[in-house]
Amino acid sequence: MSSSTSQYQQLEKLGEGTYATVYKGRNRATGELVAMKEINLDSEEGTPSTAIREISLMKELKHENIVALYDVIHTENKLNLVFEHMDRDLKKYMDSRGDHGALEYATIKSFMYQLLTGIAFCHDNRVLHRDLKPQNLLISNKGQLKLGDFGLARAFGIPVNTFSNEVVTLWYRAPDVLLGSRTYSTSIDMWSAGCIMAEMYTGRPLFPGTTNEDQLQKIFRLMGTPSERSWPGISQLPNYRSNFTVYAAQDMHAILPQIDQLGLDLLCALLQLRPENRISARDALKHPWFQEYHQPLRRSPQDMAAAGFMGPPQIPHATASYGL
Amino acid sequence: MADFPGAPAPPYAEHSVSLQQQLFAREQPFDSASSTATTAAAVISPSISSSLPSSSSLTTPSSDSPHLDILSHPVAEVLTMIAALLQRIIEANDSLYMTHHAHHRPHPDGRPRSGLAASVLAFHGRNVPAISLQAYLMRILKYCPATNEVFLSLLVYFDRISKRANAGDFSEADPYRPSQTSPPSSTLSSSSFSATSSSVMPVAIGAATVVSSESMHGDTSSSVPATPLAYSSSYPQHAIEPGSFGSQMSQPQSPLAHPPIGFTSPSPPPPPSFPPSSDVFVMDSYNIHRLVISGVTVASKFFSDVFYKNSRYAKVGGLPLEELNHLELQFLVLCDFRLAIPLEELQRYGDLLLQFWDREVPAQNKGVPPIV
Repeated sequence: MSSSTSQYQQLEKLGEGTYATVYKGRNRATGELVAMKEINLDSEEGTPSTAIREISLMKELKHENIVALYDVIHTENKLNLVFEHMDRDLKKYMDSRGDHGALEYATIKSFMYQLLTGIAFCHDNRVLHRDLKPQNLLISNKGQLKLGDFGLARAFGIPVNTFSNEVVTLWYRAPDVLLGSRTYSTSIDMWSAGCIMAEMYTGRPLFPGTTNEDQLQKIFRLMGTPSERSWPGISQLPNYRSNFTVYAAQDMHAILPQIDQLGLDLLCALLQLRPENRISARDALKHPWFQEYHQPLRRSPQDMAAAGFMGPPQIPHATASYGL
Repeated sequence: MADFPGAPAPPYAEHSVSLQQQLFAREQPFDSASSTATTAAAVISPSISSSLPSSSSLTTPSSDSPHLDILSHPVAEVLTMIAALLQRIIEANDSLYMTHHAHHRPHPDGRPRSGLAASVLAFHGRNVPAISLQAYLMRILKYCPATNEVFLSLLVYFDRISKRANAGDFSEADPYRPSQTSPPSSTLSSSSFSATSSSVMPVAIGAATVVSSESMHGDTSSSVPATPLAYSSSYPQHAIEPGSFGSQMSQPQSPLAHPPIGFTSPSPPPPPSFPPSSDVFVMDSYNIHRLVISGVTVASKFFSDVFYKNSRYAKVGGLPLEELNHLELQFLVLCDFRLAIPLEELQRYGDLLLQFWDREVPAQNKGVPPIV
């Protein structure tokens, strides 16, 4: 049997992006809910590179913290990507929380662990996500977190000079990329993870810049303005200015009074200005903040969340109960 | 993939030539294989490709084996090597078809196609394009520059397509599938190839550039010259089959992939008998240009943050935009939308390409033509 869109019942529209429309769908045979990303094939552009990358990379990346791509259905002018259905993204999840979007301690830790696990798997498989942000992290009602939207992702291997610095949504973009570096690697995703961690504590984006310049300034104001001394080679980056306003690093506790010392330590390791100093995903997973996940029992964060040990409380069925 | 991962290289003279055979030829015990020509007919479509991973020499090349610096080797030189390799393959396949397969050359004749065969046939032109492969690649490099990574990936993709399509990875019987009266057409290595190992086949590189110079005559700007390739297209004569890939493609390959043992072809000798072939993907002069431009389009979008609109690739490649759009999708389908290539695999192809170049191409033919 060939795959065809008729295998799926199209339900409501979930969202509309620049090159795709996402619908909720149902597998007619199994009743399983899916998310269907419908991509129009533009005549001038042909098949969008975002679609080519997303499909190619997600076919290789099968992991419990990465949204599963079930099927690809093509017609002459459309591509339909069939993904596992997730209840909402992290942005909506935070917005639906009571405390101005701020999440509880146990939820933050569970989500961070799952986020870092997903990132580590990508990096182990030589894939950079390059667009990590709350809208691209999908949350299930069971408290699972999965990486989605690999449209900007790319495989890294040979260090070629064709990396774009027009990647990652501005607020989550690493300072080296903002400074014009094109030789970034896995550390680009780690910065985003740090921004997301802080945002889960406060419910607000950590660095909501409006322009490239403004973004850098907001980062420097909190983390301190880097110099050749703190970051050898920085002056060689294309967007470096010798007249950057010089800020002293601030105490993060002032912004995140809720955070504990170990959590702060991890956050600071993620938000290192110098990409070389940023902690890797694998090392971050070993950080003592996740000490309870390192027990010999090796419960997964989802299990613990589901069992009510920690992590997100069960979500009331107000917004999504599909009776499955 | 194949049932006979350790099968020796089959010595038929009549088989079409695949990329891996050319690249990996020296890794295989051809000499001993050719001496068993008469007995090898019992071997069923063993694929060299599938037996390769078991060869440790491929994964751990010795220190004195050629190493291609993918990052910094001049792209024009790599393209010349790729052109020589592909030229070798299509010449072998062309002559094979000329003698035995004329009536079986895949041609869009309106018959319904299924599965991957339809996708393969989309690349088949009615005529052989006037521009040589070498000139064609140089033209692409000039107007749609890309890295070695992109161009080398073509070899990997062609091999993957060959393995997938010729393994009989079909959801149903293919009407085009060569019948029992057809001579074998497979990716198997051939004794003719073995012969070329000793008497090196000259590779036509030089003459071809003339066409390219002409076609781009007077063009010094970065704008793309008018389409020089007046080849008629098979597009859009065959229907696309939505869903020719997907879940069924990941299932174990169909039994069709493996012809019955001991089948004897009634086609004329030599060799005295052939296994029936399920070859669907054969690179030849009729499809290679379209395969190349489609592959470059797809690989550029996958590997590079710098790429062009399809309208540009179409113009540079000399085919209508609608056709390129169609072929791009067919190329993706043939690759099962899997474009990721492990670094080690790409490096292996690069090293073997260099090895092929060093050993197979005579020095006088090695001049890299200027990028016109």
